[in-house]
This record gives sequence, structure tokens and C-alpha cells, in this order.
Amino acid sequence: MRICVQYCGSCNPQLDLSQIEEGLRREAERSGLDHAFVSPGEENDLCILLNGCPVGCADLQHTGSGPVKRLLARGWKTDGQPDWTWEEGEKTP
Amino acid sequence: MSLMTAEQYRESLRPLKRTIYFRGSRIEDVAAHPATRPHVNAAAMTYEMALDPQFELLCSATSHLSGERISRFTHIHQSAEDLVKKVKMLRLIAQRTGSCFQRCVGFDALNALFGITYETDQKLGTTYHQRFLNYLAYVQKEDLMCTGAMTDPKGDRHLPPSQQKDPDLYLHLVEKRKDGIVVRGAKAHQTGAVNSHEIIVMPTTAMEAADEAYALAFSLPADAPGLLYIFGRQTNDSRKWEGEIDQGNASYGTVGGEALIVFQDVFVPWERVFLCGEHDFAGPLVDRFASYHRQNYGACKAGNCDIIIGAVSALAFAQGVAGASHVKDKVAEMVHLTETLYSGAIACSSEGHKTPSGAYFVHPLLANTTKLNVTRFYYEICRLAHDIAGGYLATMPSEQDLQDPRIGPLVEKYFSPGTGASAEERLRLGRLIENMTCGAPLVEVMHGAGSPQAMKIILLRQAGLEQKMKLARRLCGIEKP
Repeated sequence: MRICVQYCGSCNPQLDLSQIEEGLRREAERSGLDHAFVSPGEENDLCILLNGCPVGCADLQHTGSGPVKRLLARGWKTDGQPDWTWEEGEKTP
Repeated sequence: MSLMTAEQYRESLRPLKRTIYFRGSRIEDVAAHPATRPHVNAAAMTYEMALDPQFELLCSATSHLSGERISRFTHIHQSAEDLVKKVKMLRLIAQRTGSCFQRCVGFDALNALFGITYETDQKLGTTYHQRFLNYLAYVQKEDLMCTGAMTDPKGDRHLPPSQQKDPDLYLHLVEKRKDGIVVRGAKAHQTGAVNSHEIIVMPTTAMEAADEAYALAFSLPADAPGLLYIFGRQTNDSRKWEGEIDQGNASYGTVGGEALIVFQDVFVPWERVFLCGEHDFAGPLVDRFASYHRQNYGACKAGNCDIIIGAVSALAFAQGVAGASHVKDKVAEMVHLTETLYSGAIACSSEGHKTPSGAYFVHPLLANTTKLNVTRFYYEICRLAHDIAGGYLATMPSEQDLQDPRIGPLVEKYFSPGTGASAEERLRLGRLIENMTCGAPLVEVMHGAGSPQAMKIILLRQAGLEQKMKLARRLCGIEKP
């Protein structure tokens, strides 16, 4: 499986999204999944969009097709605490 | 090459043969010299983050000329979204450097000249825009850092350029040749000048026909023959030779590292000349550049204020006063002021519009309001930081005393807050606050991108006072709807 990770630009200083990618890479290794991480824009089977806030800049930038998973941090604007939500589906219109 | 690494950027400065003076001596290697190294490090951050996948959506962009991935600092804004991304990028980088990373000046010069050369050609039939496009393609391809040189020494501020006793107090044309022009004069307070690859020169004020020789815009390699740099002193700069803690921010310094650039009969080939005598376009170029640049201040200063707020809050915890209601109130006020600055930068970007060249331009009234707020709010944020931090900001012992085997234990004993934090932690936080809130940074937020009165001129010009009077007259019954 070719996995692409697309960052939103990471302007939310309350989050270090790179830790999420590191976790994904560790988990992919641990699970024994036959996989390769590829750069945004390259052919992929799964694109993971890492958004640091509900604005969702990674969604806006993503132009590929195929399966997409979005990781969105919500809530930090109101209670100061990130809470993580996985969303699956096609690219947001 | 389209994107340089941070290390490639540092290395790229070494071959440049420039004449740079500081305290009476030459600086040969800006990447290594203690006075300039922190500013090189800050600029290098712009290169590092453009290549980091986590930040590349903000810190890089797709060139509308080549379709290649380029640094956002060499990009021409293609949408209001690009203007917003610029603002987000500037705050993001400032949160990492805590100082000026200098590259926005050239960024704004590129965008201002893109639009103005197009508009000049449209009106006068000149060919400046194509020349500029060739230059822009070169800058983007090589990922060059440009300094935008606008401010002339000005001499007697009461007089226009052509009436100064000394004609060199505004940079001017000396000679037109078949292959180019020769210029003389100086540009003052030039941020990032000693660690840029290119200098982009623009006029400093609107001009009349008599000032034709001063209506110039052009670019030069930073090591062009005849250029001389005098690097300016900063508050406490001798601490760069003394150790680390007392610098406050040893890695990235404070403000941008400014220099006076002297042009001693410098030759500029025609392919690098973008305005030469078209005095009607001097004012629009100044306004365009200034508004782009004033947009930035609500972003990079917000990023710096994030650091100040963080340092003050950490210090309040260390000193055991974080729970005091008046401290919380002051920190809340600092946050409020910071986010107000940022709101202005976002607003003037979101309200940006397309210019005839296709490049997007900020809302000038909102951009100038943002910068005017910076000249007030940053001072207030610093005042609150000093209030919370306490008087030790101005009386701290030196790093040498902290590390001295005889004096150190006394410093540790009397500067430890007794909450578990060490004296060194307290001193480090204090020095960082001192570095960011005293001296040069205050003057920089006041006068960088223009002094407050320059913003008020734009505010009055853009405010639509006639319409406001009409609204008032209608409501109070003087005028009928």
C-alpha cells in the first residue's frame, strides 16, 4: 500500500502534527503491512490529510483521487484542548 | 535548483565578495561572524521550513511562471488565499525564531514591482514588466534572498529629493549609458542586507517631475562593485562575544540585523532597471510595497508576542504568581492584543483583490491599520511583560557570575524563586524577555515598514471621510435620504 501524508501547513502551535506521522509510520511497521510512504502528488492508495484545526487547509490543497482519511483536531479554539477526529471518505468538495 | 536547504543558503553567502563594516572592522563571513550569525540563522529558518513536509503548504508555493515548487518568499500572490497563507507563514516562522527573519522585505518588493512595472508599461508603453519577469524567474529558480531597499537617508525632511543641499541624500541617477545606468546615494536601516543575495531598490517617497533622477527601481547582486555596507549596532550587542545566557536568544538574535547600504557610483545594467525617471509611478510603488509590508507586522509580531507571552507565563509559574488574578488578567490582555494584531493581518489579506497584472494586493486601509496597531500594542505588551516579570529584568547578574565558583552559589541562592525552578531558568527567561522587549525591538515596531504618520496619511486617504460625513448628515436630518 502506498501511503501519502499531506500536512495542512501546521500553523497551530498547540499541535505537533509530525508526531502523528511518526506514529503512523511506527504503526505501519509494527503491523507488518506491506507499505511505502510516498510524497504528496505521487500515486498513492491512501492519502492521510493531517489538519491542525477545523479550517482544514490540507483538504483545500489535496487534489488527488482515491481513498482519503482526514485527521482533524477540533475544539482547541474553545477549550484549549485538542480532540482528535478521524474522518473517512472522499475529498471534501 | 528551486529550493535551497538552510545549509546551502549559509554556504551560498560565503562566495559573495562584499565590503561590510562593523565597529570599524570588516566582516568577511556573515555566517560565522558573531554580530551577523544570528540573523543568518533566522533567515536560514525560512529555507529549512520550506522543505519540511509539515510546513511546506505554507512556506512554499507553486510558481505561476514555471509551475515549479518555490519558496513562498519568491512567490507572486495569485489569490487572497495566498495572502492569508503569507500571514500564517510569517507568524509560524516568528514563533520559531523570536526575531525577524528578514525575507519578507524582498518578498514584498517582488510583489510590488510585479504590479507596478505592469501598470507603468500599460500607461507609458515601456517594457519594464518583461524585464522584471526575467529577473523574477531567476530569483525563483535560484531561491535567492532579496533585500528590499526603500528608505533613503532623507537629509532635511522638509525638502523633496531634488532640493536637498547634498543630492546624495536620496539615491539618484548619475549617468545613463547605452548598457545601463550609474547610481549614487544610500539606503538606510536595510533589514537582512548583509545576508541577502540580491538588493532590490525602490524610491522612498512620491515624486514630482523635478525629482525625475530619483525615481528609480532596480536590482543588483549583493556584491556588485561600488556597494558598501555599514552594519548597525543593537542594544547589548557586545554580549554576543560574552557567552550564551545573557544574549536572551543566542541562536536568532533580535530584530533583523540592519545596515546602511552605500552606493558609490554603482553600475546597473538595463535588464535590471525597472523604473527610471517615471516619477508618477514612484508614489504608487511606495504605497504598494508599504501596504504589503504593513500586512506582515500583524503576523510576525504576533509570532514574537507568542514567545513573549510564553516567557512571561513560564516566569509567572516559576515565581509562583501564575494563579494571581492580576497576573492572569495581564496575560489575557497580552493575548487579546496579540490576536487583535493577527486579526488585522488576516482581514487585510482576506479582503485582498486582484490588480491589473493578475497579482493580488492587500486591502490597504486594513493593512495600514494593522501596522499602526503594532506601533501601540507591541509597546503595551512589553509594558505588561515588564510589569509581570518584575524589576530583576533590569538588575540580573551576568552569566559569568552565575558560573563563577565563588559568586555562583550566591546567585543560585538569591535568584532561585523557591518553587522548584532554578536561578538559571529564571535568568534565562528574564534575558529572553529583556531581549525581546527592551531596546531595538521597540524602535523596530515603531518605525519598521514606516513610521506611524505614514500610516495615518494612508488612513486619511482611504477612509472616505466625505461618505462618512454624508452618513452623519443624513442621520441627523441635515440631508434627506
